[in-house]
Amino acid sequence: MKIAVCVKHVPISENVEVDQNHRLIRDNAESDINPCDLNAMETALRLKQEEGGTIDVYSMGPEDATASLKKCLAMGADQACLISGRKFAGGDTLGTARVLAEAIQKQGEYDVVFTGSESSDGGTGQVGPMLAELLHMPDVSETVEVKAGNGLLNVKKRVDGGNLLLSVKMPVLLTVPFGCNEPTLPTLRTQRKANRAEIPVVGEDDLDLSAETIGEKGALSIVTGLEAASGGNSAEKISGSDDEIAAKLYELLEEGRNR
Amino acid sequence: MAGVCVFAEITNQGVSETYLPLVAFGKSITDVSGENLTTLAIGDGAGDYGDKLQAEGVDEIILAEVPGASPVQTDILAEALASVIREKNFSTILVPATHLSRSLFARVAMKENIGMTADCTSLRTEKSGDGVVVHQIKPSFGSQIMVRCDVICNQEIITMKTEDCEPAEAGGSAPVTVIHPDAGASAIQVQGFEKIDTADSIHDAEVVVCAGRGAMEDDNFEKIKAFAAKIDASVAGSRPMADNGWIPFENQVGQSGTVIRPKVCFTFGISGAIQFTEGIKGDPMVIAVNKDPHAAIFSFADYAVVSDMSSVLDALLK
Repeated sequence: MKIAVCVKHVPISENVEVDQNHRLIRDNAESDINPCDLNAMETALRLKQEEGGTIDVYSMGPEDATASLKKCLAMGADQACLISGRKFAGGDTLGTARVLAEAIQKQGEYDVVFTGSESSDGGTGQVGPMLAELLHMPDVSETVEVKAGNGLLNVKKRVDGGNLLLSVKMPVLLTVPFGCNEPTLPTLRTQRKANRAEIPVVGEDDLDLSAETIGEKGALSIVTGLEAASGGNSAEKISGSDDEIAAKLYELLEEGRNR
Repeated sequence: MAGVCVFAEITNQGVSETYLPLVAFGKSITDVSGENLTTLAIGDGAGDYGDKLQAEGVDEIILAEVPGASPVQTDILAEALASVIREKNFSTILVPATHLSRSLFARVAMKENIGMTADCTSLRTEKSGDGVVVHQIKPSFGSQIMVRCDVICNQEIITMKTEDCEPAEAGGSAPVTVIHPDAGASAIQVQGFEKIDTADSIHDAEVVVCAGRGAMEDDNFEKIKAFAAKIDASVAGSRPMADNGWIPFENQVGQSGTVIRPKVCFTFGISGAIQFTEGIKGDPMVIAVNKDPHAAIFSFADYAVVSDMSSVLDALLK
């Protein structure tokens, strides 16, 4: 079975800055692999364990994103590919999906493509389904478990109150939510080995995409300004000794409960 | 004239509660633009919803009947929706920011090359030349600020968070059209459902104690749990707490987590990024404890305790 996993390298601190175009300044931000992408990676590894095959992992982003790719290699991915280029930057979800799709199609055909359900920075949840559309695959979002059988995939999809049990024809794209499994994190030995891996880079010239449809140039949904957040009040300050503060908090709790 | 479209999500529980707020958002656009407001629904049995979808401001209801289709069959539903949207050439399509609808319309957006903005909390429509521009306001990543997005092509799909919006009035007599789009066979088949009993949900809790990154130090989180037990409150937390495995994902409050509507909410060591505060609704009394006097949470809370949480918790536990 040929499996691809797409991951995103995201800032992990909440205290990030934005530039004058209201884009994240990624240079200073401490970054790591997007949390639910680890769950996607784990789901892929379990499928590979059952069915055999290979896992190729992709990430679009600056060179730093190799750190996330190396984490996936250390977890058990077979190959990694960084998709990086200035023209890819500043895109919206449509542009990002186009770049990923082109890079993936260039490598070959996959039976299953995994992404995380959403990134912890943008959080739109759009890239997975958009990518599926471009790859001419159906997609199942919120996939919490996958098993192969009779040439189909049996997929559990999380919905309100439980899981829907689906059977899906391959090829298919599955998005995996945070926390649905316990990712087997790399050991020191596997991480060291992965750190030495050469990660091939796919750049702008390697992909057959019109510059008008990707990156900042191709973005259709753009941030045009900042708005004052609503509800900007100022809290009443409670001070005193710790015991005095505690007494006041219990008073407020009673008051709030009886409102 | 192109027209504004509101997508009515229909699940096995009937019309989604997002529908009437979404109509109100739609009406806020058509009030300025003078366009028609169209309700669009799709699925197996959608044709029966003509009466249930009547609402103030709606000029037309289009029901795309796809016999046997499940809402998870986004491969065929997206194609059917795209054909309607292509034909009607809507300028703005409003969609609830649910998991179901966002994946469906992400596919539609890609098919039709329509700009798509996610998770907006309000809209502001202004006249611009002969037409209008719909400013899309949404929380920005990582701070207590909102950003304004615009879509720079002549069609847009906007997913909306509807929790804060006054719903439109139900009722009316807009003409109903039932259509039967050519849907084809889906690669996805539903085989069954497995019910999962969720543990006590923070969604309905009267008092919630929220822990943030600051609670990861020392035994602060243990103390927070003890305090919550003492006052019979539920324990919840911010995204970093969930990302690092301190709380289950279901107990993460915020834009990408659970929305809570308690009467009283304590926060300990929470900085107050808008992704978090967007998860607290219903105007509860909010009491924030944080050692940073400039923490954004204090512009959201009703009461501020600027102090190290450890000693305050010790006093609360006496």
